[in-house]
Amino acid sequence: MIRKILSGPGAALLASLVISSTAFAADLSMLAGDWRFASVTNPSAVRESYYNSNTMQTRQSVNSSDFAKAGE
Amino acid sequence: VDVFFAGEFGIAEGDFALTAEGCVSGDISGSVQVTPSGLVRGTLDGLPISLRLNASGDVMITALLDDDIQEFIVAVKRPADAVTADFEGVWNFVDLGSPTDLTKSYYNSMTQMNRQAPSDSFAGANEQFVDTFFRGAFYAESGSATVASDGSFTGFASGTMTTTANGTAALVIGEGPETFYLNASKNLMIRVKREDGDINEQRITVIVKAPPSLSIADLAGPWRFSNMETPNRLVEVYFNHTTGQTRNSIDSSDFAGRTGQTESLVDMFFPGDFGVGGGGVGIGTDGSLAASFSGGECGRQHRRLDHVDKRRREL
Repeated sequence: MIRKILSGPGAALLASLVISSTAFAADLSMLAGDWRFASVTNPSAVRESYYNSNTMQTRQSVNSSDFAKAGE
Repeated sequence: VDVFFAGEFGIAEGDFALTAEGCVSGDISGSVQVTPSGLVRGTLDGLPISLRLNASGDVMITALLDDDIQEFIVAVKRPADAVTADFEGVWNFVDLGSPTDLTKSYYNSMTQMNRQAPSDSFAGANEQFVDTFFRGAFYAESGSATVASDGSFTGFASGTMTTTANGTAALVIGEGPETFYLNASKNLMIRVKREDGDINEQRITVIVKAPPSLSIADLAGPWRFSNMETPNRLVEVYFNHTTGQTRNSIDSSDFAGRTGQTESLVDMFFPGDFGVGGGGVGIGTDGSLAASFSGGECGRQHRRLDHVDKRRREL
């Protein structure tokens, strides 16, 4: 079974792949052979960089609640 | 202020051979074992991995969280042979795509013009970083096609699906061909693709062959799933120097100063969560969902900007 969801603004893009399980019958000889893999990778975060015009230094955000402070 | 992704968008694909002793060699290498509950666990390219296996032993899936990335992986055991007539039937697909980069917008206070630039750009002289947005669109599409024994198909589009070397499928829809990889049971195909430049997107496509008939009872048994979740937009926060108030962007075309007052872009965040998950569920003969079965490993993890777990893990 395969499923996809692209929900409304602000929400998430969700992909789900469901497969029937071998339960308890699989062994390695069953899997032996040639395989092909495919994957997609997304970054899981953004970083913000702030320049402080007073100190002339830059710093990176430490978490999602970090934001530009005075002088930045 | 500047913004950049902590990790990178990307796709990967390749071939590997798996022996009856569990040795993996090829584009990835390592070793795996099958657990009593049907999970495939081991070490690949030096990293621990846990894959969920299907009943016929020719599809494995997982979703991973790494340092600054999340990854969704599908692997298929290649068929010994395949002919175009094997494709005959109804196929259903899902196609999941995302942009791979941000565009930044800078306002030049001298020229009073905006400049748009790639995500690795910086503000120049007299420029203020006022906006950023995904270059490209998120999308999730699904559909079906009915394939004839000669490989021609109709449905969501018209085209041809024919076999090529090593049991792959070549799909031609107007242009192409696009190569899809078939499993040994010849009922599932996968494809990943990335296009940079103007298109700027990456996608993963999974196509499954529909059974000739199906009843709820046919679904009875243990099932496993893997999923990956990604927010599909950024929200920006602007500080109004006149009112001393902040406001959130209302859409991707919003920017600092759009109100006509002096604003600064001071923060941004994803309104949804990143996450990967997976687990096992049992389906009863009446279609009811049972609790996670032994070895199901139900789990889920979300995060926004901040995460500190440096250990690669499978959920």
